Amino acid sequence: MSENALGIEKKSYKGSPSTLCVGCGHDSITQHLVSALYETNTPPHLITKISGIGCSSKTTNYFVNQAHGFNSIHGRMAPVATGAKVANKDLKIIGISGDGDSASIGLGGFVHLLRRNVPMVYIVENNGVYGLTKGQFSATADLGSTVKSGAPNYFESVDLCALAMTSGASFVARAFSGDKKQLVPLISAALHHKGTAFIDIISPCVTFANHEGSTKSFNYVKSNKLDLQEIGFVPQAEEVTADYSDGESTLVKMHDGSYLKLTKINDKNYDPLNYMTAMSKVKAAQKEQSILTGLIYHDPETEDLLTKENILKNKALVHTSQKDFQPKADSLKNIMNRYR
Amino acid sequence: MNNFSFTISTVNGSGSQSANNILLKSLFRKGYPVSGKNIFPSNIAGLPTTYSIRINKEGFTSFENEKQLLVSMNASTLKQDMSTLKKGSVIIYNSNLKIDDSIFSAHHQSFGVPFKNLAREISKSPNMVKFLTNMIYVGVLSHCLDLEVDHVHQVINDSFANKPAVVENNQKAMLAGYEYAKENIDFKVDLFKPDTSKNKDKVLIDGNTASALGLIYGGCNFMSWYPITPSSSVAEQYEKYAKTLLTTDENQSQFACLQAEDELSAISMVLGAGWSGARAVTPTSGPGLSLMAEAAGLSYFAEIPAVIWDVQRAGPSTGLPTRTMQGDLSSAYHLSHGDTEHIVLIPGTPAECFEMGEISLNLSEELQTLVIVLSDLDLGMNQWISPEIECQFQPWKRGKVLQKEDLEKLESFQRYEDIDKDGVCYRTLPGTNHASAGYFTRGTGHDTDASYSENPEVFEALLQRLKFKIENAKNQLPAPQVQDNKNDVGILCYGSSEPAALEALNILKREHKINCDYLRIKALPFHDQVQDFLTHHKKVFVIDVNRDGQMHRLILQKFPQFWNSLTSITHFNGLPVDAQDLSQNILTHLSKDPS
Repeated sequence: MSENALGIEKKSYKGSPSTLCVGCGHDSITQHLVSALYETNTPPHLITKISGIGCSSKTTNYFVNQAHGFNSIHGRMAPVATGAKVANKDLKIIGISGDGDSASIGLGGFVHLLRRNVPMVYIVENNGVYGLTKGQFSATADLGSTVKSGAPNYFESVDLCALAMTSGASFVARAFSGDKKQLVPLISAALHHKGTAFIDIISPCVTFANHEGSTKSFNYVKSNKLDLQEIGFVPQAEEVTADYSDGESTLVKMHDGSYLKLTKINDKNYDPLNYMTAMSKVKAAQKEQSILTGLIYHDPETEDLLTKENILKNKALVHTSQKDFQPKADSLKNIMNRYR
Repeated sequence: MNNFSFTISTVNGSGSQSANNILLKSLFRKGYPVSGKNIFPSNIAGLPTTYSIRINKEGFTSFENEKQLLVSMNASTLKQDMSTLKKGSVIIYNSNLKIDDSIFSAHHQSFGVPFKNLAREISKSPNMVKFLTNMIYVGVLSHCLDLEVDHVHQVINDSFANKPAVVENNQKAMLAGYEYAKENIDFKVDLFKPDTSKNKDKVLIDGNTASALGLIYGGCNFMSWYPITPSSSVAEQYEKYAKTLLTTDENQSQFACLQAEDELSAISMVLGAGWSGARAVTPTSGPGLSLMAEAAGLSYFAEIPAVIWDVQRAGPSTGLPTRTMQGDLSSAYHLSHGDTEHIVLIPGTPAECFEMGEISLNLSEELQTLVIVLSDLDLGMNQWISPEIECQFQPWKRGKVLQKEDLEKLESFQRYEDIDKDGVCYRTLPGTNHASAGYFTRGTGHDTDASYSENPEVFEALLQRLKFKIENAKNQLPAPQVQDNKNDVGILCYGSSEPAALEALNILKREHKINCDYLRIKALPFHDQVQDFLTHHKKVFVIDVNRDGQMHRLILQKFPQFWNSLTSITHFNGLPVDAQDLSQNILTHLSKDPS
């Protein structure tokens, strides 16, 4: 059995058996997540899995059993994760949410987490329907797409990547649950990003949204997927030998020295560091109802919440002792003098 | 005169607050037992505001409805303000305002003061004139109350430290008012001589500041909040003091104070932080508490330490956002869906606000549950005389947390196994470097090993254990304050109604020869001492500052055997309780049913 650089076998990154429907896109994502965590040598005890409520949120139970997990409240993954990370900066937070969880009930938390740039990976497993309550539309369902019974959606969809960019996100990607080649390196890069790394993963619901009228079915996604890049993740330790910057490929440097190698596919001029062109590409894809995948936007010069708040650097807040924390007795005496 | 109450009637946004505070502090430093109640509108500028000061020789400083002097700076409310005056009172009014003289009756003495003219002699800036006008009434009142110019000037100096120009203008304005009164107002309050040493070891402080300090010294290292009156100043004062007290020599923060996007997020951040091992608090008020209901249930059911600091205001709905009430008691105690019961702590003084900072955090970690502290606007935002606040500097109680070393000694770890049979299980924190440390926290039914379970016996056992855990903690909570001389009648209250309740007790004794015992509840579930008190009193009056007698109901629910001896006394007009009203109310009940 092979081991990663930490001497840990891949099976140690696995979780409890999934109870989702057979063939669910979410289970593929879980597998890719396990691969990325294993390959990036992420210490299992630091992994902290946080989710809201819904089919996607259940998946935190299906990877890294050794890690702490928190299946919290519908729509509240974002603030729960914020609290957990600020309290203990050492945690590697993997936030798993769904389109109902993040684009409707938790929309406020989603936007504000991105504004704050909380250091974590934020994955939305996006299928356009509420699975656990049996197939109602979610806010990411495309205009004109239908539910299983055939009723159409009259409203514009919420494009989570566009919303993330508007909210100040510094790492925005979209992927397809069935594309291991693309997703594993994207998650690996997300794990190396300094602030919030947001990945919107289109993950077909085999039970309620895998029909003709759905724009998030396996067939639809396969025929309408527009890949921006072929993606490779180059860890920090590996030396970059070849010159990737040949016009076809570019290297995107992460803050810790690792790289994403992006080989451009559909649009030879696409630059994920350019906010305005990225945004226009995302909005055009939304209009066309095509699924734009790859690294959409990246801002390497980002300042995360812990830096902005000037949080203690050498020790997690939760590990501060009473002796170090509690102000001395004379300080209270001095304060009391102001109230005389 | 051993008791004197007066009101200053202004419009809000005119800067009267600093003038009122200077006046209050000047009286406090003289040694007078004194209180100041700010009755203000939910508005930034232009609506009526009154500030009532009461001085009482015996230290009874609860809010009095009836006043003996009015300073009227707001012509539009003059008639209404006068309705609170006793016969023979004095009115000092702003003669620069258009006032119909016929309004003054023969029952009152009235004096006009040209406040604006006097202020204009000091500054030409209209903005400055607005502020200085207030300092002129401070000067006028200082003369009437026999406060020396130098004494008040010192308070002005201390209040605007580091702003010499502001100090100078304010001192001039105060002096102008004082001199004007000396020449033109033939009235002095015949007040008792203060005991100058009386307030030496005391401070004048609002409950929210005391709460913020209590949280800092009590170990709160995570706060998230959403602005809402009257709790915002808990977070603002926490952040202000934490920036100096909790910042390391390397200029890094040992705390986090995050302004959230709403109360849903504020409490969720607290749950995330508490689960991670922080001592986490969110201050809020009624509407925010309602939004936190779902998360409150999760804290209870998944056993995550959390503290909600609810500074209550008058509800329901938006209610009277700037008035006081104790209306969140029932909803707080059972906040959320399904069966829940939270630890509720109820401070009655600024010193208790401070103490309960540490106590609430300790209890939340020891019991791994939500603790809700119920302060209120009167206690939180008004300045109260308090013994100097001191910290006990005891080791914090962090509860049952297993470290890596503990896990190494154990054969297995099950998050929800009640090993000690006290209902409280052992937890681990995320990040603990041991293979068996991790567990899965969920709001769904779970077995002792934290795995998902829909098993009927498992679910029932879990709910039973949680019930036992909270009930079993009752005598670990702050004990009630009791004065028990084995009388037949008892008065029971909680929170900020204590000064009025104690004064009513005194009125009943002194004026009506009725001796009553006293108990003030400081926590829910009820301490055994509450039951003892109910057991040996034939009649107990339960004072609630809400319409429905919420504490009365909770007591009846818990102790139905006392149905016949309990009488509910309620007060719910948004103002603090008046002791005369209260004693009268009790007397009426006693005369109806003298047994």
